[in-house]
Amino acid sequence: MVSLAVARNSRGKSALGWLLREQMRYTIGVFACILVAAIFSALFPHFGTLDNAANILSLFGPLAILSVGQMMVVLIRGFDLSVGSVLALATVVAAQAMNAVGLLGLVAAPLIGLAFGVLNGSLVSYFRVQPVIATLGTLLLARGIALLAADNGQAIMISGDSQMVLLDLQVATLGGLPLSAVFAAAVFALVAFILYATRFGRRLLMVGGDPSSAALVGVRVRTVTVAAYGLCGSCAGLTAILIMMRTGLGLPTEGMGMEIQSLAGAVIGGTQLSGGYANPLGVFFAALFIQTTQSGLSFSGISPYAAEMVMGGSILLAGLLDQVSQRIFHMRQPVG
Amino acid sequence: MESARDTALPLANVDSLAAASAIVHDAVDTTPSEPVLEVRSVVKNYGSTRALQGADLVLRAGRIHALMGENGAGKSTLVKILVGATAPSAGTITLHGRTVKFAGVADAIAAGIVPIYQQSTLFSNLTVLENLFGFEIATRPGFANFNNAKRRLLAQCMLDRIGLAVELDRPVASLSLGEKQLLEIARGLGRECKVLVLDEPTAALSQADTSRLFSTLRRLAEHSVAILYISHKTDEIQKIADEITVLRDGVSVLAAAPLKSTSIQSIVNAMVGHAFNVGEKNLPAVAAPVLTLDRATRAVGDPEVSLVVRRSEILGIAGLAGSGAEDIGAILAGALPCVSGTLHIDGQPLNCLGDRAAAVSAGIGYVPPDRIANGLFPRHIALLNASASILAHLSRFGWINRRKEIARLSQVLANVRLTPNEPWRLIEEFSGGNQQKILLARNLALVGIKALVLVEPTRGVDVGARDVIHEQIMAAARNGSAIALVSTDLEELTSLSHRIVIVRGRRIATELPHLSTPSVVAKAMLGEI
Amino acid sequence: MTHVSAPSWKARQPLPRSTWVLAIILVVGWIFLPGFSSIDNATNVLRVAAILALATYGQTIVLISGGIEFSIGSSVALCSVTSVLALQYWPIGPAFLVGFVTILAVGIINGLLISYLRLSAFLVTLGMLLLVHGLAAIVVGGLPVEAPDREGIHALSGGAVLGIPVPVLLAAAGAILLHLLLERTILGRSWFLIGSSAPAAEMTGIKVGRIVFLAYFVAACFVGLAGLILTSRVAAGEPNLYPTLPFESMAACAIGGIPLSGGRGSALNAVIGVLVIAVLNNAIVLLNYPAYTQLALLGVIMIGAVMAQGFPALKSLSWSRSR
Repeated sequence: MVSLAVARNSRGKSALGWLLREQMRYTIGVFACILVAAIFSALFPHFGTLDNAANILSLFGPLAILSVGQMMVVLIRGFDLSVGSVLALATVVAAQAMNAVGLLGLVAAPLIGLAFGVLNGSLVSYFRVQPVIATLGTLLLARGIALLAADNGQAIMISGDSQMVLLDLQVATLGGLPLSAVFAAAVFALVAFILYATRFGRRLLMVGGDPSSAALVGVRVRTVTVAAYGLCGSCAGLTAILIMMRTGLGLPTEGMGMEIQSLAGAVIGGTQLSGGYANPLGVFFAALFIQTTQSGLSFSGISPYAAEMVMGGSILLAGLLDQVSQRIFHMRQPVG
Repeated sequence: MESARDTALPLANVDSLAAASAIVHDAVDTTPSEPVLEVRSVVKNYGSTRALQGADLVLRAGRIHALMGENGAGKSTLVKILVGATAPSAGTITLHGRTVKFAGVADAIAAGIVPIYQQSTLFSNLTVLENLFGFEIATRPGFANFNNAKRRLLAQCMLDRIGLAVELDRPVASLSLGEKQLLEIARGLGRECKVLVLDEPTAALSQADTSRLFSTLRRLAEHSVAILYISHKTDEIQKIADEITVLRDGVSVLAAAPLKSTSIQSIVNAMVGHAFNVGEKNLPAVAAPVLTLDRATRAVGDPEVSLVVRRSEILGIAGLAGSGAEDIGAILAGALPCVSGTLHIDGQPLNCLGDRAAAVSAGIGYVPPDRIANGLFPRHIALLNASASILAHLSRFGWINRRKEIARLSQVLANVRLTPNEPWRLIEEFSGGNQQKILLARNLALVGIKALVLVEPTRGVDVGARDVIHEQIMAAARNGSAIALVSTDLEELTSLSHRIVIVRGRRIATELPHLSTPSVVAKAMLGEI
Repeated sequence: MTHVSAPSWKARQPLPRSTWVLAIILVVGWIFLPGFSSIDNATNVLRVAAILALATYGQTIVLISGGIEFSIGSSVALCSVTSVLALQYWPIGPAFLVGFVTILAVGIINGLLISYLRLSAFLVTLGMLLLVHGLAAIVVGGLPVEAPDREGIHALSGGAVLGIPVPVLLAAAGAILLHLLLERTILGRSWFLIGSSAPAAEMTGIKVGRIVFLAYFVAACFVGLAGLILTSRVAAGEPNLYPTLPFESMAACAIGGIPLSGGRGSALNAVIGVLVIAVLNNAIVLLNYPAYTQLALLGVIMIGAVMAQGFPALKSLSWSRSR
């Protein structure tokens, strides 16, 4: 229960105001999602069907997982531009691994993701390279390796039993929901657990909120940074699994443009670029919103690129709304 | 002329320092307590600046040890070394007789040294509860299971002990400055510790809060905790501390003197270094009002502030941290917006909306208190730093006349005796004192300067630079500028000001005349006059 | 009065370290690669590099002032689309003007959102990247649109004056213009100061909002030229004209020694960074390495170049504060 009666010496900033402001950021995704679903359902009767809903759910997994990975890094004031390329590399390596040793080769995907994540994190924390440059470099590196490893740009068919298993997984459902959606939900649950239930999660928030204070309080900032980027990379690897389920291929040209989409998902989901504030639920709904928009627009026959415009506009709106909420709820602290 | 890069002081200075530092030892206590944390001959260099050059400190169990020194004497650096935030360039630290080297703050905390910082190290994006257990969260692995009954009870106890009444689940961003300070203290006190280090803990606290803090500290001392209490408030020190060490220019000049037998005067002497003569400086005659602030309020609900600064006058503005004195200085310079009130310069109104560009055009110079945050331009040369305010004057149709720039700034920089006088050097290569001189030069170079607001102009500045800066301030006054000087340096205030206004609780509480002594000013700042 | 002599201005700006990288690549290429040092090859390389160069000048300005520009790839695409569409009604001159104005418009919107609404540059230019690309794609219906056959459409990109390709002349002129702007004008100086410390710049009376807006506007002018050359080259309205342009320009800046945190940089840095990328690409092509090695190598070199610059950590000033 939040008491509106502020303690003595307080300068009038009510706790309720702060809570409202913080939660508002994360609920943008939910409202946007509902709004868009409502609009399209109203316009196109076949849109608001369970079948269509299931279709949307089966598609939004990859973007969702990629976005939540990005969220971890944006939380500590960074970002990862390499996720699309790492994703592609992960599919290529995993496909080849599966062709060699069977289904177990799937494990290669998150491992590759983790490896590149750790590389990014080390560049940023130990070598003090700016995230833009570091992840741009690994973007190029990963894309290059992927293209080289895949017979110079060819797609790699996943053969044999592995392919069958993957295709089965793609159409499988768990409790009526598409498996990929459940998988995404599981990843989100894991991330939420890490963020809220572990001390490491709190440390992430500390590093993102105030890196110098974090250092003064005893946090090993560099280790935390590497771990955050590692998690982001792993998410890219997990996304690769979902993509492979859908395509049955290891594709070196996969994921182009997905790094920007994942940033969009993180930002529309309320993650502050200035660090310290994030909510997986917000990102979850933001990804759902993006997917709903894309599906709705292709449903309507409007150019699929309109979805892109909506995404771009949503990013701008998200930034604007955050500025506005700052002005409404914010009162200057006395400095002295 | 030695370059700013030399890390060794020229011999003359070292000798005079040694001569001036009287290390006072009084009779040894009858019940010696075991030394817990000792710091011997510690030196700390930051680039070409020497923050500490041979400081000593001995903390004993069960004793409250005060540490005093002027701004820039090296207190914060010493604290950083004690809590493991930085490593000394030379010297030893021993804990219970064993030499230790802290790899980081986590190490020091694990060893039982708990810091309570001057600048808030709370996390606005976490709750009160999470901040209370901040040290644990930062350093120990495991789950963030702070929401069970046992923990919450513990947290509530920590808050009660310090007298802070806030909800545990409130985001810290919504707390006031005073509440945050109490929370920071509560966090430190709640931890098992051998040594507690408090850096200016009462800056934003009321009398009642301070008393409560003191009784908690006394109780801790009874349990043999060694406490280091850093403050500039002599009256508080007298109430709470057992012994005192004074730092000046990076050296301990008064080491572990028992407070019972040490007078305030000798403490102040140790801090300042020489018996100052108030009235030594020859202040110019004062004329018509130049800078007028009329009923300005910073935020809704704040008291109204009105001030007048006259031509050739140096107005001192004194107030403790958190009193609002710095804010008033910023408002005078047009650097901080107000919700109501007016600012006039030479009769011409300026909007009170924090428009520095308009203020600069109108001829108001400003030396802000934090040169790192909003004064200097890092990784640029001194010349560029100094010419920033007069670019329009140095150019025609937007094209900068470099020759004019060099000519004009060389003169001004020579006037402030920049050492070395090489405007082509990067700003980082100059000592703190010289950097401050460059900031001053930036304002002195203003064509048609009518007023100058300086906030803490000699903070973190060596004695030589300090003298030059004071000299320049007086020269500017003589030339007809109206000067507002906001400072917590009592000697500076009393020797330079025509009159001093005291700020308490964000309002002008009282005004003191010319030639007031530092102790009078100090008492007024505390509200005892 | 102390008189300090002029050469000190040059003395404080040593050659960026990447100049050595460039020199090494050039020498190695000259010795080991057949055809590397031919006039034809050099001309071709420079002709293509000119486009990246002009865009990089824009990115340089924005970076120096403390911002970032992600939308330039999309805006050159939109430029090609609008010019080609305008070509259906107007001659080349006005049609290209339309394209140029398009890029200016994007720059103006970015500038307004960032400087006056105080939104983060990252967010704004990222959002505009998507918005503008989507717009360009919708306008042409998803597929590239061929420009009507007009004489002289390739003049801007393919022409030459006294043997020097027009784009190269423009890039060279642009470099000189950028240099003068940065070193000699109040505007340029203000960009440096704001990028170095925006709060300090405000304290000295600089009108931060206006100067930041102008950074995006002037950058758009340079990018506009790049867009026109590109449009002239492909003679088509193409929504995916150069999607990696923002990243390549950032890479060029980084390799050239311009920190992404702002406050420092020069035209020379930009030019060298662009040349390193262009020459490297050329060398790899001539070596007959698979095209994809280029990508991987570029990534490694970029990171290596940045690390080698040894950007001093921003805490370089913190030592004076802790007293």
